[in-house]
Amino acid sequence: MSVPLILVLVAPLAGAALAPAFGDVPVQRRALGVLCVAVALGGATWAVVRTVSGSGAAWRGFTVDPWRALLVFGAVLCSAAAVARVADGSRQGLTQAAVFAAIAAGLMPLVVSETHLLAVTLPVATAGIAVASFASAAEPGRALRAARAVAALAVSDALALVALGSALTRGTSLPPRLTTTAAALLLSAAAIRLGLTPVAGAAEDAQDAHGVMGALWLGPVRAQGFLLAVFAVGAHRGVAYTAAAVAALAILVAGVTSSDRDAGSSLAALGTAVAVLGFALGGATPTWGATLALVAAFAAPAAWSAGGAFSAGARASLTALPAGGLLAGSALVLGAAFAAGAVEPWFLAFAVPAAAGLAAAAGMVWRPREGPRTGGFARVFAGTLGVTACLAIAAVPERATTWLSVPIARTLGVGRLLSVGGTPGLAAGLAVIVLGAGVLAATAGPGRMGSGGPPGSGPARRLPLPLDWWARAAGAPARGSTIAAGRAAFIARRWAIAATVMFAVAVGLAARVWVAAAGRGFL
Amino acid sequence: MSARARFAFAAGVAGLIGSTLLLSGRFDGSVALALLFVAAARIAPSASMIDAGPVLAAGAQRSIARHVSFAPAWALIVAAGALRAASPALSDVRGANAVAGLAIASGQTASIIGAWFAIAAGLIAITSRVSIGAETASSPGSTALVVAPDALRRLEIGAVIAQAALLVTLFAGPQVTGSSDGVAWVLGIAAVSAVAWFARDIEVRHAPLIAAALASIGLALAIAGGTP
Repeated sequence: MSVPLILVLVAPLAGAALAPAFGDVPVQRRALGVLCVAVALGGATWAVVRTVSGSGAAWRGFTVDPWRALLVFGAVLCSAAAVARVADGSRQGLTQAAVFAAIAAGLMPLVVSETHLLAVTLPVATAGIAVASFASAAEPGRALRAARAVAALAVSDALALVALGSALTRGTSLPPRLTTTAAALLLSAAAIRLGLTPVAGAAEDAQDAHGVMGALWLGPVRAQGFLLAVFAVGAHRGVAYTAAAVAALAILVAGVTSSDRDAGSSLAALGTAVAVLGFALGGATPTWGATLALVAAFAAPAAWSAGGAFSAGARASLTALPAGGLLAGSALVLGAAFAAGAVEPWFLAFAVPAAAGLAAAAGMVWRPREGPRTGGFARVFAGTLGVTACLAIAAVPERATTWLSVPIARTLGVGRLLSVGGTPGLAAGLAVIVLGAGVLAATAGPGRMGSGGPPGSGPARRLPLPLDWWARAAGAPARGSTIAAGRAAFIARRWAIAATVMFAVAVGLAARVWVAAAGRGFL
Repeated sequence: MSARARFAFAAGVAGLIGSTLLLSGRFDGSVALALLFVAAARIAPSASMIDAGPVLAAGAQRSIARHVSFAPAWALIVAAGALRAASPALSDVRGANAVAGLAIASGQTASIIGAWFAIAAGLIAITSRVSIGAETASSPGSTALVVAPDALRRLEIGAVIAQAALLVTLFAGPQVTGSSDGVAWVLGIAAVSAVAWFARDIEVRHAPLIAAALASIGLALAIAGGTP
C-alpha cells in the first residue's frame, strides 16, 4: 500500500509549491495550508494504523515500519503547529512555502531505508529548516538564536555523517552496524536534535527564535533525533548506558526548569527524555513506556498550540491529555528502572534522578508563563487535534500498550540493557477512576472558573540550580536599542557563517558517503 | 479561580484518589507511580493559589519551590524502600514487610539503620511546609487574615496523610491478612501525621539538603545490607 506515504510526502510539497501563488489572498492561503496539513496528518495516521496492524506502507524507495510511522506522525503533528504559527502579513506566502518545504525535507530521513539515502537527506532537511528559520525570524536577536540553532543542527549532521560513513564497510542497510565510536558520535548527533541536557542549548535557541522554528524543531528535527538515538543505543551496551545516564539527567533538569518553558514545551522535553531512557534501557516494559512517552512528547506542543485558539481552559484541558500519556509511560519506564535497580543497584543511578525530575515537574509545571495564545488559523486544527487527543487518551494506558507499543517494541527488538520486564504501569481501571476524579474536581472545584486574574503575565522567578547552565542556551541581545540590535545582527552574521561552514562540511561528508556507497554498488 | 489553578486542583484531587487506591491495595502499581501521585497531591494546594492575589500567590510560589526541593529526597527514599523489598511493586514491598515482620526492625543491621535514616528523611520532607497567607491590617483592635480556602487546606491534609501512608508502606506496613496487621498501619500513619502536625511550625535550615543527605545514607545502607 503506497497511498499513506504518498499523502504524507506529497501534501507538504504541494503546500510549498502552491502557497506563493496565494500570497496576496490570506484566506485562501490559510485554507490551502489547512488542507495540506490535514492530508499529511491523515496519511501519517493511516500509515501508523496500517503498520501496527501488520501491513506494510511503501512507495518506490520510501518505506515505513511501525516505529518510523510513529515518528512521521509525531513530526507531522508538530508541523501542523508550525504552519499555524506563520503570521499574517507581507511575504507570508513565501514564509509558508518555506515552512512546508522544511516539513517535506524534514520527513525524508524518516522514510528512507538505506544509509546513503539517510546521509543525503539529513543535510537536505537541515537546509529546509534553515530556510524556514531565517524566513520567520527576522528581528536581530531572534535571527541570532536561529543562526546558532542551525549551526548546531549542521554540527549534528556532521557527527551523524561521520558515524554513518564509518559503517559503510558493513553494508548500507538500516539500522547501520556501528562501531562503539561511531555509535557514540551518532548518540551525540541525536542528543543535539533531541535537546537533551548537555547539549540542550540549540533546542532552546530554536524555541526562542520563533514559534515556527520551535515547532519544526519539536517535530521533524526531534523525530530525526529519535531515529538516530535508537540506532546508537541498539549498537553497543556502553552507548546504551551513556544514553540512559544522559536521559536521566535530562529528566531531572527538565523537571526542575519546567517553569522556564510553556507547558507544551516542558512536557515535550520531559517526554523526550523519558522516551530516550526507556529505549536505552530496552526490554519490553521500558519500550512500551517509552513509546507512550514519545507520543505524549509529540502531542503536547501540538495540543498546547491548538487549545490556545479557544481559551486558557481549553489549552489546559488539551495539554492534560498527553500529560496522562506521559504519566502512564513514565510509570512503566520508572518501574522497570527501579526493578532493575532492586536487583542491580547501579540502575538506581538512572531511576533516582528520573524519579526526582518527574516528581519535581509535578510542581514546576504549574509555574510557567502562559505565553501568547494562537488564534485564527489554528482554530481549524483545534477540533481535529482535540478529537485525536481524546481518542488517544481513551486508549491509554492498556489499549495503547497492546495496540501501539507492543508492535513498536517488536520492531525495535530486545534492548541492550534489559531483556525482561513485567512491572505494572498504570492499570486501566485506576486510570479511569483518576481521570474521572480529576474531571469532577475541575468541575466542582472551589471558586468560579476563570475568575482569577490573567495568569502568569510575567516569567516565573528562576530557581537557583547547580546544573542550570546545562540546560541553557547562551543569551542574545534583547530588542530595545539600536546598539543592541546592531550587536545582535553582527553576532548573527558570524554564527550564520559558522553554520554555513558546518553545513558545507556536512554536505561534503554526505557526498563522501554517497560516493563510497556507490563505489560498493550500494551494498 | 483561573483555569490553570482549577486544573492544578483537579490534578491534586486525582493524585490523592490515585495514591489512596494504590496504597490501599485496590490496584497494583509501582512505588514510582505512587510517588508521582502523592507529589501531585501535595503540590496541588499551592499550585491552586498561584494565580491568586499577591499575598497568596507569593506564598504559593515559595511553597511549590519548597516541595520541589524535596523531590530528590523522596526519590532516594523510594529507592531505598524498593531495594529492601527487591522489587518496586507495592504488593511486593508490603509482602516483604510481612515476611520480615516490621521492616524497620528486621533484616540486616545495616538495612535496618538505613530504613530509619530513610524514615527520618521522610519525616523532614512531610513536615516541612511554607505557611501560605498573612496577617494584614484591619480595624483597630483586631487582625485580618489572608488564608487559603478550606477546600485547599483539606486537600493538603489529605496529601500529608497520603505521604505518611507511602512512608509506612515502604518501611513498616505489612500486608493486611488480619485485624492485627492493621495496627501497624494505623499506628504508623497516625504517628507520622502527628509529627507532621506538631512540627509544622518548626523551621529547619537547609531541610531539603538534610533530608536528601539522610535519604542517601539510608539508600547506601540499604544497598550494603541487602534485601531482608
